[in-house]
Amino acid sequence: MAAAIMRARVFTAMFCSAWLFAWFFACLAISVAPARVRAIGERSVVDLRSIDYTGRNPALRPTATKRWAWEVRQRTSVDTKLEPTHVRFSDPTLFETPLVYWSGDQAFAALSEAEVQGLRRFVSFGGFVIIDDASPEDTGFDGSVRRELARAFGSSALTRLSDTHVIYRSFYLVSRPVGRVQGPPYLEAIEQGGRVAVVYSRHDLGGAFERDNLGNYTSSVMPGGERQREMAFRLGVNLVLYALCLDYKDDQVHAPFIMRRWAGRP
Amino acid sequence: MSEVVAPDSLKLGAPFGSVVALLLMAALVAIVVLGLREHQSLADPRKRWVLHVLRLLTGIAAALLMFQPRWLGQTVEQVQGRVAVLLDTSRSMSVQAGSASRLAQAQSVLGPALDAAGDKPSLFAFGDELTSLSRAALADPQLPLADDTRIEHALRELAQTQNAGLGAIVLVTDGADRSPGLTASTLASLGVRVHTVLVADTAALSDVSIQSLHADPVAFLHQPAQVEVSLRAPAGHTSPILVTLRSGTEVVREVSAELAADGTATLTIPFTPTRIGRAAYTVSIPTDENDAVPANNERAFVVRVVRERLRVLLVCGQPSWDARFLRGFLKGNPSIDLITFFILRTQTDNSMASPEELSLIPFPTQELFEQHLASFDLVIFQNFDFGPYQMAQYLPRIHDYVVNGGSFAMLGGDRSFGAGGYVGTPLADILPVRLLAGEHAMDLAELSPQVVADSTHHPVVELLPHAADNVAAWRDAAPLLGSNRVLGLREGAQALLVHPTLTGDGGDPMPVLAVGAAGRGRSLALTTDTSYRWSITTAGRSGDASVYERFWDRALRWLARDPLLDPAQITTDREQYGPGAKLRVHVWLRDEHYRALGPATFRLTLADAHGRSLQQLAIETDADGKAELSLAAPSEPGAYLLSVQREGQSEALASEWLVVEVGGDELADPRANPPLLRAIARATGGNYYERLSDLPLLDALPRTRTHVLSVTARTPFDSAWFFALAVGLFACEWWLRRRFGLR
Repeated sequence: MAAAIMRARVFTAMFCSAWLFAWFFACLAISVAPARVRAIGERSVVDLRSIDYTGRNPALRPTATKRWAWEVRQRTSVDTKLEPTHVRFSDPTLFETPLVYWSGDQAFAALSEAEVQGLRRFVSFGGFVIIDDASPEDTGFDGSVRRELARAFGSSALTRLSDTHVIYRSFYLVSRPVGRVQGPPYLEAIEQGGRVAVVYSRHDLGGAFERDNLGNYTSSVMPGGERQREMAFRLGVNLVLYALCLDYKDDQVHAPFIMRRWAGRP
Repeated sequence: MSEVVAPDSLKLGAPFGSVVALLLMAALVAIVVLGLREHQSLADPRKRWVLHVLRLLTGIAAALLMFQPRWLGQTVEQVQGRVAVLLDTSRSMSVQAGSASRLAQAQSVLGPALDAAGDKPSLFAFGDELTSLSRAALADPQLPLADDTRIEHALRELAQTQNAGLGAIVLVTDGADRSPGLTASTLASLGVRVHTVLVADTAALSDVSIQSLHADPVAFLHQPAQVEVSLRAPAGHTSPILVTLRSGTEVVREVSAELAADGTATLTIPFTPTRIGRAAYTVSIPTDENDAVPANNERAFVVRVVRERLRVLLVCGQPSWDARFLRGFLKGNPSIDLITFFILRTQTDNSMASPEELSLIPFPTQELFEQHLASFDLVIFQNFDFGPYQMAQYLPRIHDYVVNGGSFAMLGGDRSFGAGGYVGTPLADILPVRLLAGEHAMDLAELSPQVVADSTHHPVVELLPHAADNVAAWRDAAPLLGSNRVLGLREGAQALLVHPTLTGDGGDPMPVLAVGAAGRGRSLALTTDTSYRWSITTAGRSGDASVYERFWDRALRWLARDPLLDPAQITTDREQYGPGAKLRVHVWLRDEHYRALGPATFRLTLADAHGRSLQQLAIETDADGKAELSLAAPSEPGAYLLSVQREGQSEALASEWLVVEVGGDELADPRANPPLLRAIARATGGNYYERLSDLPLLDALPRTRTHVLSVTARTPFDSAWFFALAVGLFACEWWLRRRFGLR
């Protein structure tokens, strides 16, 4: 009996060691291997492009979008750029790719008129903006970003997203938004032309995604721990899938499947 | 001429209008009634009655003063007027009555009658309009027939235009009138007597007819439509009637109609249009040898067939910006029913979740490509590789779907064209480009595709009407980020946009956008996965995102065979014509590559529904391939096909249906109507003659008309004496009231 228990322990230890070894080299490979060319060239793949603006904390989550892009690529068929780029709303190249990620952890000065105009045009021409408050514990970034959204789209444009919105089932079945913090049980959004064009999360998604160069997460996730981090990744994947597929999962052909799965969940 | 005094008539004056007159009258009555009530207080009945009488007389005198009644008298004379003969030349007069038609019988009788008349009557014909008719025209056996009968309209117009000296109208007709709500009594106001002569066999007409057809003018492609048919047969006809609905020569449906006791039947015949554009159908019933009106046994109708909603299947090999923008465009178009499938996860992806935590569904290949493929108007493969989904077995089906009339588009990406493994597959045979396999199947260099000079008028790339503007619009669009490489065009295909630097195996610029035909279907190839840059990126540069939307709108319409985008078109000014009516035809001829066919000579053919050529005309197109001409519509009822061919060839470049209706509703019920003619004669003071042979000499017909010589008016109450009488009555009553102790 004891021998059997010993064999089991040895086996478990060997299995765990092998798994950790593989995991370590996988992370290393991701950080050093050249990006595989998919689609017709790297330029046409999905770029989780961060927004630069005056007053942005340059040290904020420097690898969050890279990790996010990697997770989307590993989990879905979407081709993502593993070295996401940066752009300003006033940059003419803003319209090169239709998705931008706007995050911050502190109050910032008002955007220039050119930037507000760029944001407004980007959205009206089909762009999708994901806004992530990296310090939901205070109101610095929140106040500034609401001010700028009101300038661009009007003070009543930002509304709470229904918890049945297709964003919560564009790939994973997500019951509530979470990030580094649990945050409010809803996302906010601006709709234009029948689609959500701006999504605002006060859950610090980037904080949940961020890893250092050795692959360690830089922030602990509260209060749900690693399960909550996984849920944050799932929300991140869903946001990208919604940007790419819109209300695809609202099509009638999907309804029976999704309803069955919703019904089977606790 | 005889002079008579017409009875007097009474006229009342109404001072300041009828409302004021009524108010004055009411006040007068009130004054009288109040006075009578006041007189009741007198104890002596004689005094009371004296005052009653005086009050009443005073009131009457006041009323007469106020309203001044006049007695009008007329002195009139009865004069002999002229006679006008009004002949019904509507199509119902072509019905046989014995050995000859109704009209022929009328012509044979009226001619000698007119010749014998001393005072020559004027002669008119009517159907839907009144026209004068010469004596020579009356003898014409080919007198033009009208497709309507409007008796009241003709009588009123004749009475109005021929008013001076008109004494009588001789109306020669079968009485099969179609005026809505005609009642003979209203014709009394014509002021001229109308003698009516029935021209028809009063015995029951042996005629089985299609009384009416009702079909919606617009039907939807592949959707059930219906036509409601009403039949009528003579009393005693009990056997069922076989009703046949045809499209051209093809029998669409046959239905047996059971007649009700009154000899009528109404039935609904369903049909399903299978081609967009104008479609002509005929409804017919068998013609018995004794049928009095064979022409009403077949009627035709035209339906404009449109696509209700374009059903599109979009299969995307992976989510991408190109897929996102195309799906957004398709979903935003209310005329499109879209089914989309994205491959969201491949076998190599690790979603880190159990299936129950995912919203993914299986890709239903068997359901889509085996069961429902034919229900789609267009299938789009957007960067989709068939290999991982065991779809090789369905590729022949997609090939056959296109060859049989479906539409297919393949859009570029690393899973499309040669890179998607389509070389040598059945889909390679229907694509407009020849595929290149292997590692060189993609080119990653940025490119601004150029419009092929010969294709600027192809609707898919003709974003603007002027060629120079169109080329500039494409030039200003944001460049694409790479393309699939192809060897060149398949035979018969057309390049619309080409690569600025790369060439195919023949040395021609490599196609980026190409279209072609495959059997009866159409296909399109766009060898890039970054066409979304014609939307957001172009808009970011110029503020105009419409290049993308206009391109895809036109591409979808071309793939779906929108008739407005057909290269060769025939249009007519109407869809339905009367026999012999003027038919205006516009022709616009371009070859399958939308290059104008002109100046050149072509042949315009008019054929019946059985394909028999009735008329052929040479037409000359101008440099734009356009021509206009007029011709006479056929004289027989039915559906006809206009088509244009090249000289010496039978294949039609373009065709269009039209319908000739003989009589239409005019012949639906050609039964004689003696009661109507009898009532008209009675209402206007004329005579009714049930047979042509009963018609007396025209000179002997009553034709007097009343002429007013003078009018006299008497106004007995318009005098000072009567005014003095009224004042005296009032003064007398007032004096007696005082005497009798009243105020």
